[in-house]
Amino acid sequence: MLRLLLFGVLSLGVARLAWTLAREPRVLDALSGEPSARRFEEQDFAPLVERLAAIPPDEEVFVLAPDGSAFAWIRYLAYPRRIVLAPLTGPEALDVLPAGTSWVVLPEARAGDDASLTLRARAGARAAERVLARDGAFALYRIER
Amino acid sequence: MIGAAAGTAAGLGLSLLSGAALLAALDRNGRLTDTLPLRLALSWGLGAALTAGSVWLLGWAGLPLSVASVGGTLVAASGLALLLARGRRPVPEPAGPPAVGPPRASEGPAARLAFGLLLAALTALALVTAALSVRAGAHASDAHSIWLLKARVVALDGGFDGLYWRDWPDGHDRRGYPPLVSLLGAWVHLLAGRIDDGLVKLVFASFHVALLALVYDVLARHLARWMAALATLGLALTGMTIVLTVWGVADLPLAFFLLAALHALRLDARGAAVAGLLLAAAAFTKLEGAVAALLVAALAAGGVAGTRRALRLLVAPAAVVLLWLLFLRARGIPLLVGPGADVEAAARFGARLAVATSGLLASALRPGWLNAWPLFVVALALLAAGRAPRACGRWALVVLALLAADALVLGLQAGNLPWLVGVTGTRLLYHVYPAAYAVTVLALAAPRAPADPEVTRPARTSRGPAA
Repeated sequence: MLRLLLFGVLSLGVARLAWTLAREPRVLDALSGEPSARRFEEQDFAPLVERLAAIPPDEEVFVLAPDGSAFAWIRYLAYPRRIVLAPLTGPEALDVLPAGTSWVVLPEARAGDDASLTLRARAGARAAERVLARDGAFALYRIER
Repeated sequence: MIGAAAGTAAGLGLSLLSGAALLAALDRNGRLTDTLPLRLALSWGLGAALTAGSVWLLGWAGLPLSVASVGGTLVAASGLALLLARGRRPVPEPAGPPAVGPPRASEGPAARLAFGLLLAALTALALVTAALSVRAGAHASDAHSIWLLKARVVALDGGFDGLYWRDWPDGHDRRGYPPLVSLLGAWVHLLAGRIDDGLVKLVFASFHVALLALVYDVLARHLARWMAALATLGLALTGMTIVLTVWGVADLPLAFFLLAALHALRLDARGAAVAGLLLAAAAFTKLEGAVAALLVAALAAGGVAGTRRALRLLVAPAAVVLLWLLFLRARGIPLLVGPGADVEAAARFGARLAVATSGLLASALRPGWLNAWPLFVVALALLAAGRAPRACGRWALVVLALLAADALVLGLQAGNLPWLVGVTGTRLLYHVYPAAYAVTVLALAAPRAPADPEVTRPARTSRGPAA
């Protein structure tokens, strides 16, 4: 009985310590020995995914993401909606969209990232419709070309 | 939530039981079922392979994927296996019982207490790692780009005819990667009745526990229980062990299958069927697993099993690889498409191999939490000097060969190789890390065994449980 009690107490103690240490993302990054991936835990993508699901299948949805990581996450969540990574990611990306109606998802612009800020401004100016916008997360624009 | 969790637990339990039934049918002399940790680990491995294979073949055949269809297949396969197990001819027990470490009766109270405390720490760590993994969902890059993406796709599409398999423009096309863990993930989504990025991570938590049980069993056949548990805790605390489980990628399951195959082959040289199936599972988990299966079979041909046994080892992995290639070809999907700018395309293969090898070496020597690769070099030196158990020598050779296989697969990749090695090097090394770790621990801590080069079985008087 005493052994069982000791076993339980020690298990709980180790579990508590390990949990406290490991829930801090930087600890896990340090453990991996590999470059940290960008994280999206804090963002709520549900409104975007819901909106993407309602877009007609014949209209392309592009994600303009500088590092591609937001693109992979959005594409994962939006499946089976077809999502395409834009061929260019700088401000000129809007000029190479196909003719017709397209949808553009712009993930957050990072501080100091002038190209992303310019792209957001241009997309906002050219948008036929600004459907969804959340400062600091992403924006969805309908573009007619 | 509770209903989904209970359903998932029941379904994964069914996978485990189907593996146990298959193990009972294949392990004719009981060598692989002589300890609880080994029985659990191998049952999970075989059950996971059987489940993934069922999901794949049902979906490929265009049959509906559901809890009933996959579960029914598992029940039918289990029933068939149990029938075969009942009808088997009794096989005479080989001379000398399979020993599990030094006799338990010789343990003092301090050793027993230490074992209990270490087991408690291992249990707690496994639970915390599982909780962290569930909490992390699919947030890791490779999880939502590859392994869990495929799980989601198969579950949502109900098979392999959806958008993903038809048209998936991507600079780094990973559709050709073998899908074992993804298909297990799809099974969890079916069990949960919805796409559940948390519950699906129980697949990886299960592989984590199975790997720890397996490593413990490998070590406990040579060391006192508390020493084996302490060394297993060392592996559990290794940074990559935790991170790979939390991320939810295929590298840890591959490490498990490779070690399981090596251990099964080593314990029972005549039982190549189990090892062959585990190698097939490795080949169905990652591309490196297919190359590893070839290497293990080639090494077995020169030693333990002989050419005929080696060929038997290769049947299942070869069948899986051929079927997977056929599946990809039917859909026009390439096997390997590297990421990023093709900066290395002009280089000769030799040059690419050199880049891969030097990158992996650098990754091995990169400081990390409880990274034992530098100690593995010490173990090699001890082996070369004849100051370590001879049984470790063959495994050390296998580890080196498998490391070469990883470098080979990397060298075959198109794309930006230096970048790829930089971001995946430590992870790729993990494929053989548990085996290298076991060799290292045994070389440093196990008593030298004089005679049996294949299976070091310390003399003991009674056959007791390992844990």
